[in-house]
Amino acid sequence: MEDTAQPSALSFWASKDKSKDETPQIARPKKVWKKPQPKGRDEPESEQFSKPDPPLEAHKDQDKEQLECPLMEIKQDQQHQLDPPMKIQQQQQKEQDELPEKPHKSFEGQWILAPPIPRTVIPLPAPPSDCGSAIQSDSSLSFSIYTADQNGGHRTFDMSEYSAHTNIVDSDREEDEADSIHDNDEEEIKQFYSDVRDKTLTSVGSGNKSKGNTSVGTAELTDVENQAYPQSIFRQGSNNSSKDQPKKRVTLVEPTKSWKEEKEEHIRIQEQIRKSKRRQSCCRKAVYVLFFLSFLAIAVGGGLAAMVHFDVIDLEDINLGFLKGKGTTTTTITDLPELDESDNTGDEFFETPLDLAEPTLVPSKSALIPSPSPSENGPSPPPTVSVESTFIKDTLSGQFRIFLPNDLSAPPNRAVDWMTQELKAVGKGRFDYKYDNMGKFGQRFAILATQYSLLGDDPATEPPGSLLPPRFFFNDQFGIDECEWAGISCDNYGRVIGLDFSDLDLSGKIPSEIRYLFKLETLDLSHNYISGSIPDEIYTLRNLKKLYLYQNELTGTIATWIGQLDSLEYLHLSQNKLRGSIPEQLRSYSNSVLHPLSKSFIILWYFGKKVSWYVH
Amino acid sequence: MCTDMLHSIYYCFHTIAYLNLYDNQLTGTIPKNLNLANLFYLDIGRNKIGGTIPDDIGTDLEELKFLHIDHNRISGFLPDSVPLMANGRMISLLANHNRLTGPVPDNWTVFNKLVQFNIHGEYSMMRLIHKSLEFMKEAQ
Repeated sequence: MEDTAQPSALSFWASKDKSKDETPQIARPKKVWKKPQPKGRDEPESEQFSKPDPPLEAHKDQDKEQLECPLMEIKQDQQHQLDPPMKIQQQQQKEQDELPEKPHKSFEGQWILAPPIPRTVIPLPAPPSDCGSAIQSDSSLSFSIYTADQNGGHRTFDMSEYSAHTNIVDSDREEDEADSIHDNDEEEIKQFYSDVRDKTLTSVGSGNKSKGNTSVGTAELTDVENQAYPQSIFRQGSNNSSKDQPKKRVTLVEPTKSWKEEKEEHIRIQEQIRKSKRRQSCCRKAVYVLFFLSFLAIAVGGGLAAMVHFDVIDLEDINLGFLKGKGTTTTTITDLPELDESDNTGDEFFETPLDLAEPTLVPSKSALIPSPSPSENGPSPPPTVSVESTFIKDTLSGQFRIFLPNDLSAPPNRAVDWMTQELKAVGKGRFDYKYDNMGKFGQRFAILATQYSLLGDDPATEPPGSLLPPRFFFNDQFGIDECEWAGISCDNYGRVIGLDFSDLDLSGKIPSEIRYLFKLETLDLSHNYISGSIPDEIYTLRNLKKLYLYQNELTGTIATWIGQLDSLEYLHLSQNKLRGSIPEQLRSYSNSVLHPLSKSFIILWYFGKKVSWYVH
Repeated sequence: MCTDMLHSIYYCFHTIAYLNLYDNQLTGTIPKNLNLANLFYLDIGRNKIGGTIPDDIGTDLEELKFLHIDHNRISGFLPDSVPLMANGRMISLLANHNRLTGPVPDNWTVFNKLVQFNIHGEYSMMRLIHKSLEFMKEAQ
């Protein structure tokens, strides 16, 4: 009986060393080992002594491993002597017998293995059943012995806190033996476990399977340390064992399949996964390429947008050119030659402005500028929309998203009126020459609207029935570039960068159309009678450096955005009627609109200068 | 801060250098964190600004050479950091017609180039006059 179990148990340790020398099977000192205990069912007692190999399948495998017993070769002669561990075991058996027996059925046919602690503990090859009496134990090394009595009660002797140990709990068998010899090598542990799972345990499981006492369980490991070791053959100790034993101990469970089968299955699954991955790989590549392309597109688009935003590219300078009469939008422009034919202005400029005004401008004038006293002029004719005004309005709404108010006396409508008159007066040729640049078109409208708004309701500037432009910038300046008007300064590209309307007794308001002067850097409206509040549209003038609005009658508050104008350097708002408090943060760095792209450009510029300085 | 450091490129390219809010009807107090490193002219005179002068106004406004806070309702005292503005190269300091009390800062003699200096009114003037005379001697 004990022979059936012990060789399998001890072949754990035997399997580690692969010495292939056959060790002679020596009759064990049964008298020392044996205790008077009931015999097993399967085998007669006589076989214990004579027959070390029972005819079980497990033993057939383990017969080969029995031969690998290095310790036995050394200690063959000493086996018959009384070895100290054997004495200890005897004592333990006695103590165990004295203890109250516990009904313990869950451990039947199970192996309990404690995973070794790599730092100190390592099991060394223990002798097989034949050399079981020769147990080499060092007093300095820790080991533990588990014994179990017939009914399954077991007792543990732990010599160290953690130790690798085996536990044979079999109620059918009389002898239980567990030995552990330790070492400090981790690799030996792994090697040992690999050997165990490859060879021995399967055979043990099969041996136990023949008895039908094994309890198969799934691998349930709570300890993280145990995860590194083969889990399918271990299981944590059951209820009864967990009370006595530390948590590290796991129960050896019979695997349902042999290890090789499991390996093969594992390899199969891995191959399937690889195949599926290969299938997905081409799709993934395509997805990656798409991602990359989209990212590239976004980056390029963002860069372009940033360049546009920071005026590396000027949308205003883009020549749209459809006003040249040759493009597709010729619906309004094709009508213009008729105007030329009727007016006969041709290429000449400022020839007879009064003559050409007579036939065509009378209805539009009354439509656009309502007469202040209709009783004098009689009932005003219904407003007729001229071709020129339609063209100008369409251009404003289509190109600049400027929608005119309904009030015909509003400054934008006055500006459109003025431009209509100019268009009629100057004619197509001049018109093409001046307005081929859409930026100039919008700029002209913005300046006119600003001027009309600043003029306010001053009757002197607009006598009824006349087309006199605002007095302070020109009288008869149809067709002249606005950069040449009074108080307006431009850069080299013809873009307005400065408005100086100071000390002109203006009594109007600052219009919101001033925001279409994108490049405005200086706005000087000081020494006037301008009322109203500072419009928020000034916030869109990102290039504004000087804002002189002093000595006016401005009301309202100083908005907080005034600190977020990046370029603003001079802010002169004195002698007004502004209320409220000083903005808390006249300069908020956190909300600075300085773009990271421009920051990088600045850095490049800075270091470029430095490098050039060093080079020179 | 805005001399030659690299970070000054970010922050000191375009900041307000001239701020004149003279003769309005502004209320409230002087903001505490102005952080206008380029500001050299600050005029908030003839308003209705109350409160006190921030203690670190001299360190926040490093380049300030003109500080006009006259004709307001500012109380408290002139902080010690005021003479540190512009490294002592302050040109004009107008703080008259306020409700300032307390002594003049001890380190006020760092005003080397002060041309216009008027903090009279309800200010305690004794020590100031004494030291200003010394200062005028030194300046000459």
